[in-house]
This record gives sequence, C-alpha cells and structure tokens, in this order.
Amino acid sequence: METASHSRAYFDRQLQRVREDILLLGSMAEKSIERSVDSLKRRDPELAQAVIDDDRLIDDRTYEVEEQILLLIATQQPMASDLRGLAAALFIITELERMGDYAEGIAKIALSSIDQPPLKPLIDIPRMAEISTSMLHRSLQAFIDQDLEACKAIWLEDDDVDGLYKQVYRELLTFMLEDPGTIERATQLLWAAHNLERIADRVTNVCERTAFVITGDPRALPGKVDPD
Amino acid sequence: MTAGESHDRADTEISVAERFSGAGNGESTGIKLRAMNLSVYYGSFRAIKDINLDFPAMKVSALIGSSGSGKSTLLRTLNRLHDAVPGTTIEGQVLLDDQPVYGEDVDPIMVRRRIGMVFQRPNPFDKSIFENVAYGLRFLGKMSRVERQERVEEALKSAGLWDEVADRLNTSAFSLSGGQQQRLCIARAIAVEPEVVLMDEPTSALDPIATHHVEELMRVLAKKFTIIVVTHNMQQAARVSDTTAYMTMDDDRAGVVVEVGPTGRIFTNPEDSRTEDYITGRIG
Repeated sequence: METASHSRAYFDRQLQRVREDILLLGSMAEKSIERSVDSLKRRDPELAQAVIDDDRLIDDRTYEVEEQILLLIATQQPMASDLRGLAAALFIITELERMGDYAEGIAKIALSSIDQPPLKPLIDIPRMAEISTSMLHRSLQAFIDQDLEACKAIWLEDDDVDGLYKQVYRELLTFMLEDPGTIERATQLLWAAHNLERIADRVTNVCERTAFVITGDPRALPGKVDPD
Repeated sequence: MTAGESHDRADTEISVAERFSGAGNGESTGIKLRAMNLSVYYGSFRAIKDINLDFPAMKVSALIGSSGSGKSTLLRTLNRLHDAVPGTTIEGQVLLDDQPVYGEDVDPIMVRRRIGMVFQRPNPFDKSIFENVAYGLRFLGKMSRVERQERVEEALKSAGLWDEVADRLNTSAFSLSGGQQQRLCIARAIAVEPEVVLMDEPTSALDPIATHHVEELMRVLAKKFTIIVVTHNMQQAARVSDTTAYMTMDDDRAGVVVEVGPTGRIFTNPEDSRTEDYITGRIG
C-alpha cells in the first residue's frame, strides 16, 4: 500500500531512491571512464564513439535526479541531516556528470589519435584510470554508508593520482624535447592524463560533501581544488 | 517605520552569518529575559521542569516542540499569566532585566505591561478598531486626547495595519479579516510600549498571506522589542527567529528544554539527536 506523501516512511523511501540513483549514475560514470581509457589504449574507434554517445545518457540521468531532489526539497522541506544529505546529493550528481564529460573528452582524444602511430605503450594512464575509478566507486559507497573514515582515506589517495600525473607529464615532456614531431601526440596524451587527474580531484569533492553530511562541518575535510 | 511605508525587505533581512550566530538585526544588547530553574505545577502535575533559558534583547526567540512539551506553559509563565489560574504553582524565577518577575512586591499588572502577549486566535474586543488599540493606554496614566490618538496611530503603523484601517477607525474590529484582526491585536499589545512581546502561535489561524505579513512584522518589531514566539510551524521558526529552543516531554511528561542555539545551526546541524529526530519528522 502506498503511504501518504507526507509521511516519514514515504520520505525515507524517496531518500533511498536518491541514494540508489546516485549509485547508478556513479556506475555509469565509472564505466565511461574505464571504457574511454580502454578505447585510448586499444585504439578502438567504436568503443570511443560509444563513450561519446553514452555521455548524453549520463547528462539526462543527472537532470532526472536533480529534478527528483528539487521536488523533495520543495515538498518535504527537509531539515538537519536530511537537508545536508540532499544538498550534498545535488553537488555529487554534478561531480558525476562532470566525470562523464572528462571520460567523453578522453574518448574524443582516442578517436582523433587513431590515424597516428602510437607514441608509446600506455602504462601510467591506465593506472591512473584504475585508481580513479576505484576511488570513485568507494567514495559513493562511503556516501551511502556515511563512512567518515573511508572518506578521509579515499581523499588522501588523490595524492597517488597526482603523483602519476606528474610522472606522465615529465615523461611526455622528454618525448617532446627529444623529437618535436611528437608534440601533437604527446599533448593529446597529456590531456587524457589531465582529465584523469581532474576526475580524482572530483572524487575528493564527493568525499568532502559526504564528510559534511556526516559531521555538519563543511570544512571537515580541507578543500583541495576548486571546480573548474 | 514611518507612515504608510511598507516594510523594507533589505532592512529586515538576516545574513547567513547572522543565522548561524543568532545575531539577526546586529548584536544583542544582552539578556532581556531569563528563566532560571523554572518549574510549573498544575496541581500535583509538573508541566515544565527546571527550565533555564536566556532570551536575548531585541531578538526573535522561537520555542518549538510537539504538543504537551510545555512551550505555551513556559510562555505564559514569563509574564505571570498563570497567576489567575487556581492550583498553579511556580518554582524558580524569571528575571526581566535581572529583576525578579515573581515576588511579593512585584505588581503582576506592571509585569504584563512590560511583557505583552499575542494569542493564537485573534481576540479583538467587541469595540471599534480605535478603541481596541487605545484600550491599554488607560493603564499608562493620564493622557491627552491628541496624545492618545498619536499613540494609536503609531501602534497601528508599527503593526503594518494603518494604511488598511486609517479611514475606518471607528468601525467594529470584527469587520476586519482574520489576518488584520491579528495585526490589530499586535497593535494593541505594542501600544502600551512593552519591552517584550510574547506570541503564542500567532499565525496558526491565519492564511499564508496573512501569515507572511505577521512574520515580516516580527522581524520589524524585533528592532524595538524582544520577541518570543511559540510555533508549531518549524519553517516559521526557521524563517523568523534568531535563536530556537527545542522542548520535549521527559519520562514524567514534564516539559524540558533539549537544546537551544542559533536558528541557522539548530535547523541544519542540531547537536542533540532528539532535536534532529523532531525537526526531521522522525518523532512528534
């Protein structure tokens, strides 16, 4: 039997639905990131195109969840932890949508670099993707579980991705210095690495918003990056 | 506020920082009213227990809590409205400007003149609009007719009602709408220039537009008076008050204060899980 829309049980179910939708959106972003780097590594134009096409689905889903959250705020007038949770959810879906855009960016690089010979075998960039998607996956679980310790740990892992990015940057710079003919290909790879570095940054934002929901303190985790 | 001026929105706006510090309308000038170890008994039943609560001057303080949590009892105790109710016993003390409100040498009439009250349902007297506001002025001693008229006009302006009634002051107060009647009662309460205005669910009988008028009025009045409002409407407490106190019933069914703090904090990040449960609708 459907409970009346003003009951707490109804509101709890709606909050649960928002959480499930965030997990779904997160898994869509995660899949896009993995597949975009795969398409770059395997030089697979069809896979790259699929990532580009799927981005629209992520965007649509984001707008749906956003509407759902706004409707809950308007009709339920949430307070305290409910209010913080829904405010954080609005931030988090925006982060996920942007992660999807970064994946789409990597897929576009994969498409445009296919007619050129590979510069080098890709090792660190797939590694960056692996760490970032793992961070993303666990950050959303921490949001669902309201796990502050997990948030802190994941937040720190961003340093590993930053380290890899610097390594990729130095390596690609060497290629470019040695042979200016590699500049275009190296720059594209640098962009792909940069997108992955930004994805990990946005995961730290998810951790920060979750820590805020749990503690009520918006500075519970110190901010790392401003959204670009 | 001057004649016919509508309330300037910017003038009554509370900033985010003020919401979280409880300092709407600027810094308070101190504690106006203070409940100290206050208990009220109806016969042998203890309705509120050991209430310790400070009400800052020139601020809006809200009392929230479910039915039976003692909010209205506390409010009525602050200006000795229980004095006339047989079988009511008060323990503890209420201080107005650090002076006891309860004491043998304290005149309850004088207390109520300094601490006015607005009730849940508009309760104008069966008199003209003018007479309703002028009614309390007789307690202020001798006053010329002109001065009386000035006081009535000023009170009606402060209550944001002047423009609507200026041309029919001698018609019956019952000809006004519910929202106008409530603002008339507010005018009546402030005509005697009290220092504190107590409001017991002042908008629960009003429609949303009239409610909006009264809420805006509370912010304007807080520039001159200390306002204490009991409300069942949490959104209202969140909108109009600087500080909020949450009350509940303890195991003996006596009303107690669970938590008090700046309104911004109480509604976004309460410290006590009972407050959280109440404002998120998990109990009550």
